[in-house]
Amino acid sequence: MTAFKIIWLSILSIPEFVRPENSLWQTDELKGVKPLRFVLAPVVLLIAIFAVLVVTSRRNTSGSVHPPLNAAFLLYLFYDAKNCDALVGDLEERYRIIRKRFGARRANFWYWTQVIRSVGPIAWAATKKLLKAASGVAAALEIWRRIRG
Amino acid sequence: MATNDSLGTFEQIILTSLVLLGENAYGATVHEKVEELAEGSRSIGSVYTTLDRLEQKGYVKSWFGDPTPERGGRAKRFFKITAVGQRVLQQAMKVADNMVTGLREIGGLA
Repeated sequence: MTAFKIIWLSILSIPEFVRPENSLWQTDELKGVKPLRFVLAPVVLLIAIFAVLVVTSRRNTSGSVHPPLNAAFLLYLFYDAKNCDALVGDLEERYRIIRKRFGARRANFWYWTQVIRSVGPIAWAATKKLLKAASGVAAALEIWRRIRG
Repeated sequence: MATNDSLGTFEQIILTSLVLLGENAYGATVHEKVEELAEGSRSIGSVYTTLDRLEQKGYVKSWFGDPTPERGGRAKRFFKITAVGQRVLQQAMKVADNMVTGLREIGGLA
């Protein structure tokens, strides 16, 4: 029950619906884990997204020769469309060979493994790019502020 | 020619793969060659992000081929090492060679 409360409050604290000073966090059992909410919330959300995608992809791909669509979609979330097309094409090329040799279930498993392992580096590269752009904007704003002030 | 920018191990492996593959260097073949050279499993995502980084540095150039049916109608992205990339790789190889020579002189690692 406590675990459920922690997860629920962590998710609610992302958009700050439940602020850290809220009385819900002030109970003895939750006080200690309050600082962890920033880590817990994204982890819980990611697990939930993966679970939903895996479950729905099973329905989508039964009887189809194409790789799991939801797995490919994960890559499109973080990588630009043209390059992602090439990456997904590379995976599909190998997927078809594995499917022919080992069957659809193993091929789907292989595809999901590849995508989950690839999402990390791609998401990290996208984050770094975003941070670089954000720091550029911040620097420009700081220069502008100094010129004005 | 010595350059200021040094290559990481994974970058060296990828550039070496491009040299070995020549005209047939696209995502899937580069990934296979990298796994062969690194003697272990690597994700295709890390291969692509490293290739992007190398392209930004000017060590690699890429272009898209024609879409093929076995890839679900998607185009291949081909890669080629540039002259600057070759120079940087040669420099890295020279450093690695110096290390090997140095180790041989003392009879190898303990």
